[in-house]
Formats: sequence, structure tokens, C-alpha cells
Amino acid sequence: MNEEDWVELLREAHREPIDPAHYAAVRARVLSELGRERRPAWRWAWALAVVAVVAAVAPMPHPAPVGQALRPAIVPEATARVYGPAAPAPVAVVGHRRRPSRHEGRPKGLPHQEPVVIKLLTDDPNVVIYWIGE
Amino acid sequence: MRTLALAAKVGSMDSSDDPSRTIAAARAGDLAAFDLLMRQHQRLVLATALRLLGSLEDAQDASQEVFLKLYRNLGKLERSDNIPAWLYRVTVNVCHDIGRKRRATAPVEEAEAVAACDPPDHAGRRRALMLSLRRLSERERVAVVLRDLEGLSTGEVARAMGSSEATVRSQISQARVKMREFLERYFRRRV
Repeated sequence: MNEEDWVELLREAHREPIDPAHYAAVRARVLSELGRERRPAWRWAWALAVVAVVAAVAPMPHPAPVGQALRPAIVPEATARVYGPAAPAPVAVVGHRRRPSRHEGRPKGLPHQEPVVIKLLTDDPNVVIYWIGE
Repeated sequence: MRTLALAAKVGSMDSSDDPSRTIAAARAGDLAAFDLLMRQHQRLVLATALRLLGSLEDAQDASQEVFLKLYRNLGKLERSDNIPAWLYRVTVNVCHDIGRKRRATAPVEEAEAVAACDPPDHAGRRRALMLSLRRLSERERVAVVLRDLEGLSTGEVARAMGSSEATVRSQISQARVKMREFLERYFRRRV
């Protein structure tokens, strides 16, 4: 077999037709891939449309009752107004921490007790009465 | 009825007989036109890839990749007569990439299987030739397939391979020597 013979034999093998199904398979794969590449734009459009419809149709949620639940708890001040029978003057009860003297030691084992200080306001702003109770 | 038939005939002639119009339609996103373009060049791509890769499955993968690249580069191809040269170049490159990723079955083992067939009939000789093709280096195989099998000129092969004509001539010469040696060994064994 000389060179021309085997080159011709090679050409003959190369010219042999390929099954059309193989071509069709390639074309189908290419077209499918191209179709898939185009699809995302439609997907996004559909998704946006669905979101818009749901937003339009869905009932608005009822707002939570305004008030106690959301408002911070009001801590009652340690003040009270007491109106005396003779002179109706506001009375403020203020928790006042008396500064302990250096010599005054606290008995060990006993809980610390705050002295009660009552501030009495009179009609005269220059006159304030403090009442300290042990 | 006659008018409709005539219109259909004119329509089909428009789409299939004018390559530039087919390309323009495919470029505009007409997949039917692109399908027609693939039909016109499918043999070129698949047969070349089959000879370069030696496996129909790999050749189909390569063809798919080549046609996808063609679709994405239609805008750069102004004239339809540029397409075959472009397809050869891209097919060679895609087959190079696929060949690097996948290790082909050892041709030596297949050659032993072919040699076991007795007597060496026409089909056996052809198969031995195909095996000799696969024993070449990648560049030599590309040169032989494009020059001897696809019938391109040396200049066209050089452009497809991105090398010089002198290099292509040298590669073809070396390839033929190797193939001859392989076939002589094979046929001597058969005698």
C-alpha cells in the first residue's frame, strides 16, 4: 500500500456520511442552550408580575393596637402629693439617701434601710419643710 | 391556492438561498435561521471534530460549543463566505480545549484489537488508518485533517492553526512519515 493509496483510503473514510441523527442531536442541544439563555428575562418578568399582583391583591395587615404594648412602662415616681387639711400644700415624698457619717458603721448582717424624707411644699416658695423619718 | 404556493416557495428561497439574509436573520435572534445556518455547516464542524478527537461524543460536544460561539459572534462575521474559515479555526481551538480536558482511550490498545482481526479487510485497513491518525501529535493531526481530509490549501490550514505555511508543510510531512511507519508495521504483521 503506497502513500497515495492510504491517503485516498483515509479520505474515503472521512467522506463516509455521519448519521443525520448525530447532526440533529447537536442542533437540538444548541437551540436548547440558546433558548435557555433567553429564558431568564422572561422569568424575571413573570416573577415581577407575580409580586406586583400579590402586592395588589393581598389585604393590608391590621396595625398592632397602639398603646400599652409599645409604650414604655411608666415607672411611678417616688413622689406623692399630699394635701393637708388646713393648708393644702403639695407634698413631695422624695427618696433621699442620707450620707452616712464616717463614724457611723452599719451593723453587719442587717439590711440597709433608707430614711424617709418628706418634702413639704408650702404656698410660699421660700418655705420648704423637710420631714425625716427613721 | 396557486398564489399561496408561490409565496411559500419564494419565502423558502429567501431564507435558504441567500446566506447573507440568513445570517442577518440569525443575528436578529431568529433561531430558525440559525438552525438553517447550522445545517449548512454541520458536516464541516462535526466531521472535523470527529477526526481531531476520535470520539463521536466528544465531537458532538465540540460541535455544540462551536455553534454556540458562532451564534455569539455572528455580529463580527460580515460576510457569509467568512464562515467556513472561521468555523475551522474555532473547531480546532475548541477541540484543543476538549482534548486537553479528556484523555482519549489509548490508540495502542485499540491497534492491538484491530490487529487481532483476521484477515485485514477494507474496513480493518480504514480503522487502522484512523488509529494511525490518532497516534499523531495534536498539531500534526490538525494539519493532516485540514489539508488531506478537508482539502484546504496550505495557507488556509496555516490561518486556521495560527501558524506559518512552512510549519504546516513540515507538520504534514512528519505526520505522513509517522503514519506510514505505523501502517507498515501493521500490514507487515498481517502478511
